[in-house]
Amino acid sequence: MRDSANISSGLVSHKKLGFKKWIKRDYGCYLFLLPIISGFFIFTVYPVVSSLFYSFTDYNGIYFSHVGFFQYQKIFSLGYGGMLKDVAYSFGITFLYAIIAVPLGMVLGYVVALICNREVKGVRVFRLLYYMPTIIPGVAMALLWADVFSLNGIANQFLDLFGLHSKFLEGEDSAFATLLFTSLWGIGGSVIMWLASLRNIPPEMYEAADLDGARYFTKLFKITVPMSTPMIFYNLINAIIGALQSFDTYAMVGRGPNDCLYFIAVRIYETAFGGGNQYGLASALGWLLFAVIAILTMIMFFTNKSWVNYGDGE
Amino acid sequence: MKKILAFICSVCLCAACFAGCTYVDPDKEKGQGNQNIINQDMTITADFEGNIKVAAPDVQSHKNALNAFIKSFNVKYPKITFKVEYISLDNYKSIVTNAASSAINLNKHGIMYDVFWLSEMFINEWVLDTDFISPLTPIIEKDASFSLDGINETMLKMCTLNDNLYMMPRDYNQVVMYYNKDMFDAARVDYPSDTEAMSGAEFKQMCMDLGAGLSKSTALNGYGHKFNEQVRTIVDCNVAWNALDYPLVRSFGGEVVDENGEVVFASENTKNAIAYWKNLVDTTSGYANLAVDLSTGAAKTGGLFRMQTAPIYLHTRAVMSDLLDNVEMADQVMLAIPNLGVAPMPNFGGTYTVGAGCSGYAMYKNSVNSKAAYNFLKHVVSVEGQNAYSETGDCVPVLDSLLKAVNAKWRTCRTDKLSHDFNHNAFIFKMADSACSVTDFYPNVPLKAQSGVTARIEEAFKSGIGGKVNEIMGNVTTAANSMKRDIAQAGRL
Repeated sequence: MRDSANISSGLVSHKKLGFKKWIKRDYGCYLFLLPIISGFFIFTVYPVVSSLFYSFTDYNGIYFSHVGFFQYQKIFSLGYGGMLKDVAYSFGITFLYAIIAVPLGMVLGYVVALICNREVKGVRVFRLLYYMPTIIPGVAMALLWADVFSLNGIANQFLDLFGLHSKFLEGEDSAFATLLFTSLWGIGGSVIMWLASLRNIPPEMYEAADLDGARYFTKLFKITVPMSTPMIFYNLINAIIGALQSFDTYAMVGRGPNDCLYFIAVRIYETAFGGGNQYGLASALGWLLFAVIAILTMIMFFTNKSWVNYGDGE
Repeated sequence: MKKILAFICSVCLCAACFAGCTYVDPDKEKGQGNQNIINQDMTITADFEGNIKVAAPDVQSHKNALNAFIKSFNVKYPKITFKVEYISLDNYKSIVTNAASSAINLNKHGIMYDVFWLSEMFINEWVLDTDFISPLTPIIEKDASFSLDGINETMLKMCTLNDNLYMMPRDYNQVVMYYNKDMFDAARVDYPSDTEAMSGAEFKQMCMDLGAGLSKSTALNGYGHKFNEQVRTIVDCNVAWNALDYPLVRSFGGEVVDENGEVVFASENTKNAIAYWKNLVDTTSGYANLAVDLSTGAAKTGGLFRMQTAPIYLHTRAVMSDLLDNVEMADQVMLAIPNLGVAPMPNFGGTYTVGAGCSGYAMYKNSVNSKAAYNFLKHVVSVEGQNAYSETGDCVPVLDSLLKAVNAKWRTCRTDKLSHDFNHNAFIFKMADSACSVTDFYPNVPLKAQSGVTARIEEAFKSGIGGKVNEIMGNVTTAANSMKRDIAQAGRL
């Protein structure tokens, strides 16, 4: 009781104490926080604000000579020199990837979590095995997949046994599907989250359902899924943001054959570092992507109350 | 107080945004350099003391070249020291640009390298866009002790932009056909001519003969493997490299962008060029395909040729010491090619064109050691400098006197590895009339689109060679349309 009173007074007392006394009392705490706060400002806030400024210029890494809305105008122009068609194409395939990869990964991750949630012998080993791939860095994984799906890679060596052959990442028709397949490799991360969520469901609910004679799928759709909706919401937001920022593919296959995997994040990178030094334009594209993600996230937050079960009293 | 602090922080943050870049008047002409440096007297004496900060790619042949220049320079100026930074070739351009950016924006010019390696492909961008290279012409004009006379005109042209020299040429790099004489002997195929470029049909027939011959040969390569068990490719090269793909298009009568700025890449000629190479990749003779499949990635380092499993390799003189000596590459020791031959590039399409480029060193326009740096650049093109570099085996000199001299060092070097009849003339075969590079069409393409357009040529080759024959024209058209978009977008602010 005494502690909580102190904490409470600590939170409000700086107004009464005055700024100097407040700093004097808490300076130790702020000194310890200083490295992370400085890092946050230098490596996150400053680049973010700078990129906003650059997006209104023709900055090339050293100089700029024009200031205005021309980069945005260029992005949204359809006529000669306009980029609308190209940017729309990049957003189009990025959305397509998100629309397919996100539900696929989530459903598969959820199914794996349901299986791993059963208390059977050796299940811990499987949980570990499913999680292990997520430890490998994305770029390393991308290079590995590029090797696996190269024309003479392991995948084709396996297909050769059946007299088949595929171009996988080298083919315009097969690259997207191959990429989707590789994206499933990382479901282990979400499996851990799902498992945590499944463990939080009170067993009394299942016991009550058992007494009422409910079968497995009834319990799954009436108890397990509704009780996991907060985690579904969390995973959904993370997955959509991750999919829209998809960039690991660049290490795997660049822009893909005939630009078939020219995701918006890849376009931003290539615009800045692909040879033309168009940092201003790349910054404008980056802010456009930010706006799109922010709008989607806001929509999800506004609509989540209708389907996310936060439990009693919330 | 807190609100005031927050306000001050916000103002500082917004102001700091400007710290990262510098405003320049859009009408100001770029590439003019620093007048203080241009106007100063660049004469130095033998006891001149200085320190030059140099950037060069982290590649053995580049290191050999720079060491040779530094060593011979220090004979003349022993008190000038060097601080050399070798940078991975993958990040080279961005690291040098970032160093220049920091130096200019912070006004601390010591951050930037005084001298840095570059290829002729970088000049447009680093002069007209980022503008950090010092023009050398006005400095040379004031220097009574030096002139450009005697330096090969073709190379000077490659280093010049808007009548200003920005790069001191280090060497001349023309693509040649290296071949492994032992493998030709094993296949019982005659060596290619030293003095004539073979036609595309003759080249294909030679590759067919090599494939058939090596598939029967049980002779051993340097690694102790039988040729008939190891050779699966005849020509090892990355054809989707602008020193090969663009000349190939030109050889078949094609072009990328014409003098009016029109994209003319989508033509039957381009299609024929890609189809010719695709045919080599798809054709087998014995156990071998005639040209390497690009998707294997093997051709990028010439690993097949170095492992003595491919008899032909298309590259330039700058990598020759890597072929003559044992080198470690990709955690593997590549043995020296014991019996190396070289011939001029074939005339694939009918019009003789050969990929060529020039690399060299440039000076930072605000160099804090400009006197020492300028004199080092002068040394690079001096007889002493060129001879020192020639001793490494990787140099085709830039001085006409050395190019023509029969006993010049570049022709007499590496006698430990090269036979007396080694065909040095292949490296300058028809250089005046037939050497070409993508920079030829760069004046017709907006600066911001140049690298993009070059990349589209590579894409067309990759997709064309990897796809079906009847899809080549479609791939070429797609690449051409992408070029048009690149050009249109780059042409408008």
